[in-house]
Amino acid sequence: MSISGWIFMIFSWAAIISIMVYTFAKVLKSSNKDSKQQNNDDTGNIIEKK
Amino acid sequence: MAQKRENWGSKVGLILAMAGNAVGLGNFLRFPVQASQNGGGTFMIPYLFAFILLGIPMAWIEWSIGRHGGKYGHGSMPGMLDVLWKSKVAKYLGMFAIFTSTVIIIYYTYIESWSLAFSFFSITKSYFGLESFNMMHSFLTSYQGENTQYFANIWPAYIFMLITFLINFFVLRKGVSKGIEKLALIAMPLLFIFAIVLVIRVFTIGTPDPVNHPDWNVMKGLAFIWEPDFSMLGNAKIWLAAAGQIFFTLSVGMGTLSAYASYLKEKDDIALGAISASFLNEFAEIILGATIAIPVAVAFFGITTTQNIALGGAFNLGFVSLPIIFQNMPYGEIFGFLWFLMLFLAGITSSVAMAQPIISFLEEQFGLSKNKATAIVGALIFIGINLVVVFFQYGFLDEMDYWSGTFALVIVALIEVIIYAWIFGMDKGWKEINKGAEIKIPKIFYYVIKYITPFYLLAILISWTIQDAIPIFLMQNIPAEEIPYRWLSRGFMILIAVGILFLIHFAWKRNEGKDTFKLDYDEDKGEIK
Repeated sequence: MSISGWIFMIFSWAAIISIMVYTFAKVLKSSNKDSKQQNNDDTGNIIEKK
Repeated sequence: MAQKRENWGSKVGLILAMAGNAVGLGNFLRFPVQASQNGGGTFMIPYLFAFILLGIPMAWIEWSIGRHGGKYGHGSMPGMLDVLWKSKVAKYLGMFAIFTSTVIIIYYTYIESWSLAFSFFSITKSYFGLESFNMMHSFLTSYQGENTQYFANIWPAYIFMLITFLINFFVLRKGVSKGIEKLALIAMPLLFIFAIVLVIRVFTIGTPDPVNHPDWNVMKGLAFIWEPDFSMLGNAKIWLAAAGQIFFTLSVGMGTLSAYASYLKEKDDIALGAISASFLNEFAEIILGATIAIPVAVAFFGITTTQNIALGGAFNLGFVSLPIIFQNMPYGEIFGFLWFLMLFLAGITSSVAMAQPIISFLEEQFGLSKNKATAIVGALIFIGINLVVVFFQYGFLDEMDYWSGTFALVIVALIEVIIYAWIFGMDKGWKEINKGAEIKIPKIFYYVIKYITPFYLLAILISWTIQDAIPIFLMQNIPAEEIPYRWLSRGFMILIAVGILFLIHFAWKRNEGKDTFKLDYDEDKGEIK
């Protein structure tokens, strides 16, 4: 493959993988935050009921 | 009285379900064929442009329309457009979205079932020994019922269709969180694992026949996909083909992204979600899809034959040529099994999404239970699939695929973008997209959505109308024996479209003045009362 082909391929792959990993990691982080919040709310409700 | 709507169980589940909706057979079959037919590396440049200027904006619009409609209790396009545009016409325009997804699922389920069947044929080595294109093509057409050389009748295809249909509706009956989301959480990681295994295998193939064909190798195949010929960039056909592929791959224009997004909560992020799901899809397409079929075909058949294979279409590549390659590699039955099972997983995560808009419509507008709505849709789709199976060889499926799976998609997208950006208003639309966003979208996309995306869509619509729609409508170059069946296919589609229009009309009459979902949403507090 020519140099231009390699550059185009590596640049495209790197851009796609890095944005995919970055956005998915952000989703995971936010998902964990939500479930922690949910757990805290649930614990709060149980304590209130007691 | 307000009905409680389902919500997604987790953000990861939602993103995987959205990505599953988008990642389909097209990522692994249509994309390599389109790239191959349109200049290989040259195709990739307009493709990436279209992804940024058409794909991502349309994904944001569909997610936004869906979340906005969902807060009023609408999971399908008629209701979603009705709350965006206070006009009597809006809800009827929503018919196109239900129409496309409903018609596509009818034939898509059948094609999906071929993948399941061929994964079985691979692991049992049923087609091993058929090493020529003609023999393998006969095997496929015999399976489809066109001849009796390898299959005495259509029953094997019918049984696999039935299994696929039942799996789809088993998932749908379970609902969004317990059915679709669970499927995505299992199927999507598996799909990526299978695809990565196949990519590694492709990279380790090297030069299969170094003595006779030393220049047939995987690197040549990758070069074919990635080496751009800048002199071809002036060709408008390549730009339109690339834009068309972006359409198919992101599943825009079917209302399925909106249907899924309608189950989001008011403050759930859509800016990040849409980007994340879209890039997962691009990973599956550009990195995995582009690295499997074409490079391996070039390594075994050379560039010229690979181009001819691509001219023969996606099924010629996936179901005829690749099985020949699997027969010529060690443990080919396992790689064949993985390839077809991966296609099946890609297919089923998309097909369940296609049934969702019409199921939501029946549930929400007619107050039907999930089970009843799923059963009615299942019955309709079952009738349709039977017609596709029986009349497949007469172009029944091709006719459906063009009008609903190609042409109507652009119409739906154009309706969505015009109503969203121009009637609902881009200022409100921009706020809606950014509500709850965990990332900051560059302001330039405000103008892209308002001006460039509609222009892109209009250009595609005009060119497709002139190039394809008119000749296809006039049935030019269609064998005489196929014409009655193609008219039957058109009649069936018209029946579905008219039926949906009637249901929309009836639903709005029925719900007039009733305590509908709309009344239960508190605009000030931003929550359901």
